[in-house]
Amino acid sequence: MKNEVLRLSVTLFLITSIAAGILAFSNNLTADKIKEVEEAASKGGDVAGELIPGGARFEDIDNEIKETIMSENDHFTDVVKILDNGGNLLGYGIRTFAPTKGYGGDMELFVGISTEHEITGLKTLLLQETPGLGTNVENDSFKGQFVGKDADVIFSVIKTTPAEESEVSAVSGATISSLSFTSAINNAVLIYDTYFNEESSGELIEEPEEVDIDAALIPGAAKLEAAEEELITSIASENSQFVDLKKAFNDSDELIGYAIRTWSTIEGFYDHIEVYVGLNVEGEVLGMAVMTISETPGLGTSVEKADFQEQFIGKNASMEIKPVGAAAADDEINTITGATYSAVSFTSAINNALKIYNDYLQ
Amino acid sequence: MNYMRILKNGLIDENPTFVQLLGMCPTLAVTTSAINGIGMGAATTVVLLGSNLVISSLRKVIPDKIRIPAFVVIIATFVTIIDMFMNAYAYDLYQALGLFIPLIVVNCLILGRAESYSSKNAVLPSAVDGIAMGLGFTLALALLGSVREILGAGSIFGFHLFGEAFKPALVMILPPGAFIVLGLLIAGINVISKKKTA
Repeated sequence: MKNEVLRLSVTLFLITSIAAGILAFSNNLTADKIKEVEEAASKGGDVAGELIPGGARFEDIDNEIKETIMSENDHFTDVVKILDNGGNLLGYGIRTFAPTKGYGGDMELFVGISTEHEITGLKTLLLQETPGLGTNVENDSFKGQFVGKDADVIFSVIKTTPAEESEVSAVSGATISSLSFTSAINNAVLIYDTYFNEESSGELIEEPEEVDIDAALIPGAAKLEAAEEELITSIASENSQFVDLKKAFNDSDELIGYAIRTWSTIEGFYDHIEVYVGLNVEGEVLGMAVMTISETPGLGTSVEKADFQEQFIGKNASMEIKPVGAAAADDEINTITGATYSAVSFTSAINNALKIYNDYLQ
Repeated sequence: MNYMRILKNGLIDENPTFVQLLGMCPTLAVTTSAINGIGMGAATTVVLLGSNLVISSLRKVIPDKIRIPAFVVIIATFVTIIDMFMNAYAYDLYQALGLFIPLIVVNCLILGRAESYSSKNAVLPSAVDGIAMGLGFTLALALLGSVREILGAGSIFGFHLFGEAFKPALVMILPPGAFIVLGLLIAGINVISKKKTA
C-alpha cells in the first residue's frame, strides 16, 4: 500500500517534470523569436505604411514629451514619428487605450495622423469584443469612416446616416464597441492637437472654467466658507459622488445656504457629469453650475444652457426630480431632445445634492 | 484494424459534436462565423492528433490510478508548445487562431478520446482516431458557423450573400443563436439517422 502511493507519486512527478522540461526547452527556443515577431508586428515598417501611406519606418520621440503626455493623459500608451524612405517626417502614430471601455474590456488602437492633420490610418492592437459582432469595428465600413478626416474634431457615434463630418454611424448591434473605438480615436486626436499640432491652440476640449460660484449659485451670498472638515469627511465616506461642501453667508454673517459639489449618480452618454449646486437653508435649489462635462458638444452639453437649468430652480429637497418628455408635475423637468442621457445624468447630480442636504444639512 | 471505419466513426457515426455532445463550450462560443469554426476545428485536430499519439505510446507506462492527471498534463503541455511555436513561426496564423488555442486545453473532446480510445489502443489507430475525431469536430463547427453566419450576418466566409436591403437576424451570432442552431442541427441529424436504421 505504502509502496504503491510512493510509486504513483514518483510516476506523476516524473511525468510533470518531463513536461516542465519540454516546456522550458520550447520556451527557450521560441522566446526571442516571439519577442522579435511581436515587435515587428507593432513597430515594423509594414505597420508604418498601414498608418500613413508611404510610411516606411518609425522613429522614437523624445522621452520627455512622452512622459508629459503620460502624466496628463491616462489612456495614452506611446507615440512615434512616422518617416518615409527618405527620412522625411510624414506624421505621427499615436497608441492609446479607449477611455470608454468596450463590451469585452479594454481596446487599444494605433492611430496614424499626418502632418497635414488628417487621420490616415488605424490599426487595432487590442480588441476583446464579441467575435462577429463587436469585432466588426475593424471592418472598413466602420473603421473607414475615420480615415481621411481632419484630426480637429471630436467624433460622435450616431445610429442613423451621418450628416456631419464629425459623425460616424455605429456598427448595428455593437454600439458599445463603436463608442469605445471612437473614444480611442478621439483621445488620439486630442493628444495630437494638444502636443503635436503647431497650428492648433492646444485646447480642443475646453476645460470648464472655474465659475464665479458665489454669485451664480447663491444670490446674495457675500462669502463662501468651507464646511467643517468632519462633516465633509463623513459625507464623503457615505456618498461616493460627493466632492465638496461650502457654506454661504450674507453681509451680516448669517448662514443663507449651501453649495454642494457632486458627481452625477447616473452616467451620461460618455461619462459622469460634475455639478455645483446652490441650495438655501430650506433645501430649495437656487442655482447650479457644471464643473466637468464630457458629453457631445452641441448636444449633451446643452445641459449647461440656462433654459434647461432654470427648470431646477425652486425645486426642493422634499422631492426627487424626474426628467420626463413633457413635464407636468412639480417634481418633473423636461429632458433635452437628442440628449436624454446627458439630461438624466445632470438631474441625477442635482438629486444627489438634494439627498446630501436631506441626510446631513436639514 | 479498419481505418476507414475509424474515420467514418469520427466523422459521422460518433461525431464529437452532434452525437457525443463533447466540447460544447468552445463549440457554442466560437462558431459566430464559418471561418472561426474551421479555425477552432483545425487547431483542435492538431492537438488531438498529438495527444493521442503521445498517450497511446505511453499507455503502458502510465499507471491506471493517475491516468487523468497525467493526461491533463500531457494535453496542456502539447497545447502550450503549439501556442509558443505558432506565435514564433506562424504569426499570421497565430493572430487568426490565437484566441482558440488556450480554449483547447479545456476541450473535453481531447480528454474524452484519451480516456476512451488512445489509452487502450495502439499508436497508429490512435493517430487515425485523432484525425477522424478532429475532422468530425471541424465539420460540425464549420456547419454550425456557416448557418449562424448566413442567418446572423448575411454572409459566408466574409462574402456578403444578399443585397444591402437584407436585415440579418442578429440573434443568430449572439449566444442564444448558438443554442438554437445547434439544437436544430442535432434534431435534424437524429431524424436522418433514425430513418437510416429503421
